Amino acid sequence: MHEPGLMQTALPPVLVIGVGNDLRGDDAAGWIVAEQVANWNHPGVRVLRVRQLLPEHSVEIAAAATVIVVDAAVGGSDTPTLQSVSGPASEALLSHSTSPSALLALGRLHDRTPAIWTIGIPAEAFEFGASPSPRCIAGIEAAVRLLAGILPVHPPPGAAFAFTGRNH
Amino acid sequence: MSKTITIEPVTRIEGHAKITLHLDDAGKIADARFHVAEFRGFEKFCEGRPFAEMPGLTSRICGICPISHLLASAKTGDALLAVTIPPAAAKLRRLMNLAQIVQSHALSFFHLSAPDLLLGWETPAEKRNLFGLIEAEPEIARGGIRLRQFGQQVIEALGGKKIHPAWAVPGGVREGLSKEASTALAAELPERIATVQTAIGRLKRVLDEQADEVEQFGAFPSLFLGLVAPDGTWECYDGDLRLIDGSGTVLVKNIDPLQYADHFAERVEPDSYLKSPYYRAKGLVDGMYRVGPLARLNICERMGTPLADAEHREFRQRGSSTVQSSFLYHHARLIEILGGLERIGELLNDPDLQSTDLRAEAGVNRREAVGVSEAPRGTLFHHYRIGGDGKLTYVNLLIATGQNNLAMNRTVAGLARRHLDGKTITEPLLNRIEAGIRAFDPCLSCSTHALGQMPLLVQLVDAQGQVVDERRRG
Repeated sequence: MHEPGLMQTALPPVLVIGVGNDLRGDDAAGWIVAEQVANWNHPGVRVLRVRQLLPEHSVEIAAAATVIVVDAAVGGSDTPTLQSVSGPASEALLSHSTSPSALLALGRLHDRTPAIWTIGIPAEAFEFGASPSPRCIAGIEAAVRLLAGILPVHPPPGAAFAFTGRNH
Repeated sequence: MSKTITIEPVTRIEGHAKITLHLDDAGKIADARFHVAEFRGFEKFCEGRPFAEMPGLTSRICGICPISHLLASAKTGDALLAVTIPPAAAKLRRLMNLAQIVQSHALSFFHLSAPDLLLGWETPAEKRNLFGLIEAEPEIARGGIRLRQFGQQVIEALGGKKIHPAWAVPGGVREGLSKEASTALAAELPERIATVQTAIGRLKRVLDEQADEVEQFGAFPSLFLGLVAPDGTWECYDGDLRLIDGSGTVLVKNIDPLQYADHFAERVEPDSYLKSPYYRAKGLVDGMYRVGPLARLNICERMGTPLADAEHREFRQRGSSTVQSSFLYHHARLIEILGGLERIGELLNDPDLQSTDLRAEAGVNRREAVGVSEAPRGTLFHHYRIGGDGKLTYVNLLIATGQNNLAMNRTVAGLARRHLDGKTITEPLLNRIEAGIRAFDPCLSCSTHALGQMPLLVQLVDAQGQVVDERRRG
């Protein structure tokens, strides 16, 4: 279930960031979702696929009105939802990883306060070279349906998205 | 009673490490050792691979300085082919190397070191980070993020991706740079140059305010190794490999990379995966040498661009014949960013970047070669031997951070002698010791080229080998 106010606040540009590693099983979830969104080719929606969030991404985050970060989440719900990110960042900023809440603070550094949301895809297996698990695939497909329903994509995407495997 | 005080992990460096302080029976610092607990193993598992794969393979040693390995490996491949790459390819490789130096140095200064330098070591740990810097010095923090992003944008424009681009190959490079991309990148330069100039000014205030600390911080005579242009200009991609001593006297010039083992030995450490290179002719102790920004700026006579030249002249006045305080690695790093940006500006105006003559084609003509380039952290060697089928039979990687190992140990020992009385481990003391390591900007992913990570543990061990205190992190 998505936040009802998102469409009203999802003024372009919308930035969708898929976070993860497409070589490690369920960690590819964010990338797969972002890849599908990118295939919609909507001019108001920009898509990034990154291995991890870095301080440098704050520049692109600050340029967007709405940011949606999609990532694998151990223990995540089988029904992915949009979660709002707000408040100050409390953790130290490391060079190898940055949380969405930290990026919110970095976005403010650039004098912008985009609305940041996250979608967590349930993840449980991260073997090298493995395909995502069935549970993760179901979560990916649910997340894609969620985004198709809320992003300003016109006309809507055609057939419902079904994950059919990846070509590396 | 002798004690061992271990500080681990060292925060805000690339990779993980621990520091062990050895005290004598009088409670004074006897020795300090920097241990690396990461094992990578590239030197072994690359055996049997085709040498042409090595730029791609070895760039994956590191996510911060993959370009350094990419270029050193490609240069080794050039030598195995016995080719001279087209001038346009050399310029493009040089451009990418400069961008790498800019982004890596920006990370080191603005993200990793500036919280200590600009906020002060007494600032509580929860504030002494990039967020604290954003709060206290937003312009510098903002500029630092954009500066690193600029370096990454140049790399991406050349190689198609910011990290591990498949671009430099034996014989040349895959693609040039469009005029449109050159123009767009050049438009960013004035603001990036202003950022580093602001940072240099800010750092100079710190150097003046903490003059006593700076003068003693890892300050000792050492040898210095690095590349330099034949005319003495700062050089990071090619040029002559030169070794000087603390008085600035050239000990060895035009070192043939293939003969590096004649000049430099590597001691394998029993308690670390990081090896300790030293200059053979002077032995393990006197043969200690430093590489990286401090070394390069001591070896070169000029930076070769106006703004960096002015800063370099002032920098050299902070030492006698050479600048010896390890604290001034930070200053040297910023000057290299400035010089790098100026050089990038010159290159972006060169129409050769749009050339399509980018590869020299040949088969295998040599069975052994060594490629050398300057990584952000210092001189990097890739040494390969191949069979007639082009597959590797031997790989040795001499890494910048490893070459600074002995100097890092000595820096930590000096700082500990100054600030530790053997009875109280204070937070400011730990911070200074970590800062001593961080001045060298060690990249441990490179230095050990191994695989797996060990858990990190702080132990205080008495002379009888008993653990008297223990802290576990992570």
